[in-house]
This record gives sequence, C-alpha cells and structure tokens, in this order.
Amino acid sequence: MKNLKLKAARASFDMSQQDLADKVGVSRQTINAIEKGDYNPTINLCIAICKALNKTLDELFWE
Amino acid sequence: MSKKSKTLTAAFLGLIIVITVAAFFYPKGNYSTSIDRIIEIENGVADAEPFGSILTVKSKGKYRFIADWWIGEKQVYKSPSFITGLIVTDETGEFKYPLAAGAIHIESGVMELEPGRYKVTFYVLPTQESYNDFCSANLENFNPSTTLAASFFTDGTWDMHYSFKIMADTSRFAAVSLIAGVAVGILLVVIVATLAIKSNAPVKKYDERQIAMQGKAYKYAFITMVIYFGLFAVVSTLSSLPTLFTLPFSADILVMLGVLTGAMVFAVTAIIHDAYFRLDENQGFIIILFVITSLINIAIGVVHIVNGDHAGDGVINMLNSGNLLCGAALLVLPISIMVKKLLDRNED
Repeated sequence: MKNLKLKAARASFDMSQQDLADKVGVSRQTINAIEKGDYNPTINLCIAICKALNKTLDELFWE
Repeated sequence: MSKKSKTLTAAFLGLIIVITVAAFFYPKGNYSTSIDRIIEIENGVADAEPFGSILTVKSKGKYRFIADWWIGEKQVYKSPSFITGLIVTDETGEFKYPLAAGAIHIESGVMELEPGRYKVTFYVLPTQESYNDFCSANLENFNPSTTLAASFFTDGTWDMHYSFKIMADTSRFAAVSLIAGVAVGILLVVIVATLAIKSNAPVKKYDERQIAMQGKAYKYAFITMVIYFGLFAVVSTLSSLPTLFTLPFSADILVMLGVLTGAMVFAVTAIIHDAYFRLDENQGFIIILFVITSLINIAIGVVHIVNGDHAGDGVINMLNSGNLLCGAALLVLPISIMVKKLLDRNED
C-alpha cells in the first residue's frame, strides 16, 4: 500500500527523495520503495524519517 | 578516489595490458589437418594408400605435435583392428617424426621447427608383416620379434577420423601467466585491504533495505547453484558412461560456470533491487573497471579461439577458455547496470 502521507510530508518540506534519503542515511531508492509501499522499514528507520520530517510515527505510519 | 589508489589502479591495469599484449605477440601458429576415411581391410589387404596432408609452419619456434585417431564419433578412443603408422617429414627429409599405434592421442615433446612445409602421412598397416616393415624402416630401437595380438590384424570396415596438429608450445608462457595472474591478484587484495584499513574516509554502507534485498539475492543464487550442481552431478555421471554421450567441456570449466552463474544471479538480483552499490559509491568507476576487465578477458579468450587452442584435446577447459567465460560473465554486470538505469529513467 502506498504511503501517501510520507510523500505529502516530504513535499511539504520541499524535499526531494534524495534529500530525505541523505538526511536519514539511506538510498533514494529506499525512500522511493517506502513511498510506493514496496518496502516496510524497520522501526529505527521510521523514527529517523519522522525526526527528519518533524512528524510522529502515528502521523506517517499509522493507518 | 585518492591519488595513490588511482596510481595503483592504473599500475594494475597496465600490468594486465602488458600481459595481454605479450600474449598477442608470443610466438604463435597452430596448424592442423583432419581426415575422415573409411578403411576397408579384406584378407589382410587394406584398400587405402598412404594418405595425409601438408602443413606450413610460418615462423621458427617451439612446437608440439598432437596426433589423434579413432573410430567414428569421438566417444572413446576405440581401436580398429589395424595399426596406423604416422610419419611427419620436412622438405629436406632430414627431419622425421614416426609413430605407429592402433588408436591414440599423442602429444610430442617440444621441438624447434624451422619455417617450411611439413608433410604428414598416415599408413594403414593391416598385417603383422606390414607393421614390422613400417617400424623397422622408421622407428629406432624397434624389436622385429615383437608380435602383436591377432586382434590387431583382422578384416573389417572402419569409419576413421584422423587429426594432426602442429601447435606452438605455450606451456612456459601459460605457466608464467598463471603465476603472474595469481601474484597480481594477491598483490591487489593486499594493496586494497591495506588502503582500506589505513583510510580515514567514512566507510560506505548499505542501508537496511539493500541488506534485505541482498538476502533475497543470496537466496536466489543459492537455489540456482543447488539446481546447477545437482544437474551437473547427474549429467557428469551419465557422461561417464561412454555409450551415452560425452561432454565437450572439462569438469573444471563446468564447476567455474556454476560458481559464476550463482555470482551473476546474486549480482543481477541485487542490481535490479538497487542493492548492489553502497550508498554514495562511485558507480561510474566500478562500471568502467568491470568493462575493462571483462574486455581484457574476452580479448584473451578470442586470441585462444583465433589460435585454435581454446580447447585442449577437443575439450573446452578452464585453462584455455576460462578467460572468455569470466569475461562474458563479468560483462553481464555493466549491462545489467545500464539496463537498470534505463528502466529507472523511463520510470521517472
């Protein structure tokens, strides 16, 4: 299932996938895979993404 | 990439190029002839006159003679019920290489040959008398009281295949190449490991998704290798039964093919899932390195094919065709990377 909330949050900060990837220390393809729903990140990566986008886990990863 | 590692990489590539160029210019020249002939023997008389061919050696050098003859398809070296004599002479008649056997594969010692035409003649020897005459006339230290079994001299019809090669002796170069290759490989690993240990640069890592995808790639590679080597065991067992079939490949190259297939399945799966390169890795440099290494190996393989020594004794083996196999396998990586980039571009 696509993670549109993550995509929207990233867009609100005017960040590209590469920008977010650099910030959390993963590849651009990994961010792309998470947004497309092709990959379920570990809790550590979820937290890192939330911190980078100033969001909570619920806001980004809870349905 | 630091200046030091660039210099070392250039030195390494330079060494490989020097070895490749040396391989091109090393005295070459393989000359061969093959003759298929039906031999009929009736009442101890063969219907075949001496037959053969002329091979022209173009440059002075060290050569080996390789002679084979057998019945029909090369499944086994099966002897017909007659003896074949072989004589190689040069134009002056001073040089002479004689041989007599039922069916055989022979590789002579190394001989210094002058440029010129060499006449190869096969003689059918259907009786003990003709065998004695041939050997007495041509072989030194022949004992005329030697009596062969009667089974060597019976009537019949045989579909014979004769082949003869004059091959440049590359054994010394092959040994030097092998040692140089291993030495360069060890040296390279030591240099890279030393640089990696001493380097203060941050270690590039794979992210968690890449590690997960690599796990998947390892799984596919493992399954592929299990299937391959399972089939290999069955096929090699069957091929050991000479009445079924004979593989034109030696075991060493088939094992290497299995290893490379597994490695390629891993690499291609990882590339497809963007899990092959570490974060921020210099992909361009690695692709160029793959292409250069692959092309060098393919070039060496092509040299073997052009010289006609890609197969030893009609069997494709690792020593003669390993470079071509490794080069072709290595080329799969840059091609996969390019295709993946193209697909990603279309997706974007």
